[in-house]
Amino acid sequence: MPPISTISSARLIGHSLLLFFAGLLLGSISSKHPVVARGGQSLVATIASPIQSGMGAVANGVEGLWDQYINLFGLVHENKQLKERLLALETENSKLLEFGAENERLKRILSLKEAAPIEGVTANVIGFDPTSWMKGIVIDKGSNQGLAKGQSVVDGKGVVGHISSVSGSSARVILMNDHASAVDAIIQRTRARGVVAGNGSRTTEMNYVLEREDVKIGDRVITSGFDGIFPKGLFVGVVTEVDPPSRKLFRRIEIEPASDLSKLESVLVVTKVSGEIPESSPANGSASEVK
Amino acid sequence: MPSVYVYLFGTLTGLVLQTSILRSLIPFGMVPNFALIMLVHIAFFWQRQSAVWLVFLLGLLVDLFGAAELLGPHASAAVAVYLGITIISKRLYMESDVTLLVVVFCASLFNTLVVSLVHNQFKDDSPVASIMLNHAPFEAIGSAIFAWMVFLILKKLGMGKTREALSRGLSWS
Repeated sequence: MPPISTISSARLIGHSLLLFFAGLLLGSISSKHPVVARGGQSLVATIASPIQSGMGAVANGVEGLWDQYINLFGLVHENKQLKERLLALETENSKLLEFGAENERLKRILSLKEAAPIEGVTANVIGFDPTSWMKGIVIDKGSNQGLAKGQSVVDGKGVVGHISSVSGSSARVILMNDHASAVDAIIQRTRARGVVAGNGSRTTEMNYVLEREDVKIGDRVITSGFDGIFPKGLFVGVVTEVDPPSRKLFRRIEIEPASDLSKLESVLVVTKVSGEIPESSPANGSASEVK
Repeated sequence: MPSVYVYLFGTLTGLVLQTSILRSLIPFGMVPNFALIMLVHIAFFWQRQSAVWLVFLLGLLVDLFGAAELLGPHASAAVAVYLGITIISKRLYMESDVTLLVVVFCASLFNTLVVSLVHNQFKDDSPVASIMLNHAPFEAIGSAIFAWMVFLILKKLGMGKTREALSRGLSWS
C-alpha cells in the first residue's frame, strides 16, 4: 500500500465518490430487494448472536453489581460488619427480586398464551440496534424455533413490534416506536380506526383518526387485525394526549405503549392465531391489571 | 498485527458491545459509535490509498448489524465522513486530544445526518430533524468520550503513536 505522500487529492476524492455512490447503489438495490440485506444481516446475526447473548448475561451481572453498589453507597460510613452483612443480604435480595421479576414476566406471557387463542415462542432480548434512533432488538430465537419475518411480537402487557429478519438462532425485531413501524389499530371504546406509528421516542402517535371521532385521554387502543401482521385484539396502549377539535381532517393522538419498550427482557413471538382474541382477554390489556 | 486487522477486529468488538452490554448500561442514548471512532482514527493516523475501502467496509458492517432492511447508508456516510476529515485534518492542530474529541463529536453528527438523509431517500420513514435534535447529540457525546479511550488503546498497540503521517500530508495542491 503506498504511503500517504503518494495519494493525490484527485485520486482520494475519486475513490471516495466511487464508494459513496456504491453505497447509494447498494441502498437502492436493497430497498427494492430486501432479501439482499436480509441475507447479509442473517449471516452477521448468526455469528454475532451467541456473543451478544453472552454479553447480555454480563450486562445483567454488571447491572446487578451496579445496583448493589448504589444501594450500599449510603451505608459506607456505617460499621464494616453491618455493611458486609447488608451486602450479603442485598446480593441475596437482588437475586430473589430478579427471579421474582423474571417469574412475573413469564407468568404474564403464559397467561397471555393461555387466555388468548394464540401460539407463540418465548424469547429473551439479547441485543439492540447499533444506532440510537432506530428502535430494534435482537432476540435469542430464530428460524430453528419456527420464527419468520413479519410475525408479531408481544410481551405480557401488549404489542412490542414485529420481526424484520431472522437467522437460524436469532431474529431482529422492529419495535412499535420505531419510525418504520405502523400498526393498524382501533380505539376500543368507540372503534375509531387509525394507524399507530412510531416516532423514535418513548411514545407513539395514532394517525388517520378522523376529526369527528370521539377520542378521550385514557382510551385503550387495540390492534384491528387489518394489517395482516398483528392479530385483532392485542393491547397497543393508552391515549395520553388528544389535540382539541380543529378544522383539520385527522386528529393528532399520542399513545403511551402498553409495554415499556426500553426495558424489554422477555417477549412472545406470535406464531399462530387460531381465533379472535376475546375482549376480556389479558392480550388486550387485562393482563397488566391481573395479578 | 497489521493495522487493517486491528481496525476490523476493533470495530467488530465495538459493534457487539454497543449492541448489547453498553446499550443496557449507558443512559440517555449516549452509546458510542465504535465504527465511527475507528473511522476517525483511520482518517488521522492511517492515511493509505486503501483506507477509503476499509472505511466503506466498516460502514457496511454497521449496516449489517442494524435492523433496517437497507444496506449502504452507513457505508456511504463513512466514506463521506472520512473524506471530510482527511480534507480538514491538515488544517487542524492535531497534537491536542481536545481537537480529536471535537472532531469525533462533529464527525458523529455529520455521520448521523448523512445516514438519515440516505435512509430517507430509500425508506421515507426517517424524520431527519427529529433524529438530529433528539438522538444525534447524545450519540456524538458518547462517541467523543469513548474515542479518548479507544485512541489510547490503539496508541498502546503502536497505532497513531506519532502524527508523522500527517506531517507528510496529502498533496492537496
